[in-house]
Amino acid sequence: MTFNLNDETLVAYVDGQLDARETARVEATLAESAGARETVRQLREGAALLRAAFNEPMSEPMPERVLETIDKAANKAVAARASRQCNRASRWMSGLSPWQMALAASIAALMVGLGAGFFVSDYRVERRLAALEAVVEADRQARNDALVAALEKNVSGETVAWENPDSGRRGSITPVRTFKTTRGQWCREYAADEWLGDKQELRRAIACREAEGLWKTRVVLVGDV
Amino acid sequence: MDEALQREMLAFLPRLRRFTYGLTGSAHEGDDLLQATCERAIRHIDKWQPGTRLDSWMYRIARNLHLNDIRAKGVRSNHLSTIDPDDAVVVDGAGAMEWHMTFQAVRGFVDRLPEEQRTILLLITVEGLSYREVAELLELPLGTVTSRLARARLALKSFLGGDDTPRDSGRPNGVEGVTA
Repeated sequence: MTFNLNDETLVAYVDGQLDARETARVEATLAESAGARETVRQLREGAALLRAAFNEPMSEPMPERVLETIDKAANKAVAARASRQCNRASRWMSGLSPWQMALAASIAALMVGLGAGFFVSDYRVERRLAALEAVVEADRQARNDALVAALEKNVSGETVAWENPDSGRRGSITPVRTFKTTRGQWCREYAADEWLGDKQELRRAIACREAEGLWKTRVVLVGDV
Repeated sequence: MDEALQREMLAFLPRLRRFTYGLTGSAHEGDDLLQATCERAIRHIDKWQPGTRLDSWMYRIARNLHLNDIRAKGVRSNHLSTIDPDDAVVVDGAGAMEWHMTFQAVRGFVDRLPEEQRTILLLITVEGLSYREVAELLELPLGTVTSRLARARLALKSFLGGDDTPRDSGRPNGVEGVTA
């Protein structure tokens, strides 16, 4: 086997693991040696083939039992919504078997460039992520609507509650005090209380009124941003 | 488990699955290991430090479970699952089938590597982790990771027909061969 320190350095160079000085040294050597350039080319090609080879079997969809394991640990409602979406397989998928798509993708990755291919995806996972994204966005919307309603209309101490049945998240916003900045902008300190299952998050923050129905949180006094 | 963590775990699943497939050398055993890894990670989620890398932590769980498995069984069952013949449909002419054979041969090569080289090769070259990350994950000196990886990569290069040996006839003749 041809193995020496030089080879280790070449492999590390191909992997981009050398610092600037070492990289420059290797590149100076490469400029002079056709043999070393060929070794680098073969190492790159080998790495790309290896990635493509292990991407190929990933065409089989993610087993539902694995996804269900995560669903069970996470929020029930989100999981139910996600699996509903998963069952509606998109039409363009049905023309090709997953195996064909993955092989085509592996070959495309090789043709585009030998460096490609760490990324691997799965449509069942993508569907769940999209559903999760939609639920998180709905939470954000419900939270913001409650914030605007509370700050715009309520006197201090008067609470507005919100709930998103899809995520199971619920919360409330209570204005605490009101003041005017030196530049004449109205700001309000508020307390936000949020529940997911039996987990509670508390937040104290200051929001200022930008326009009719538009309040921006400026400072978070307690809790995560 | 909140939505942010759920999202991170879900997004990482395809990569973790590729790793468990590579470790076990079989789609079925790989999925069993994937399932066991997820179950264990969820059960011990309080041991994971938020802000640190979830992927490194789960790769480590997968690898430890796999090592336990090997110890329990004595030997590693040495078979790469073959693709269902019904699925073996040519995508775009003879080229695709040849690529499929090449990929299978490469997986066979990885399957025959020593365990210590296989794990490192998969984590760095397939999963894209840095040498340093892998050294931390496997609790090995950086130099050991570097040399084991180099050994595996040079062996792969020889296997693919570098080192002046004629190219294996079962392999497409260079990357350009597909486009031709």
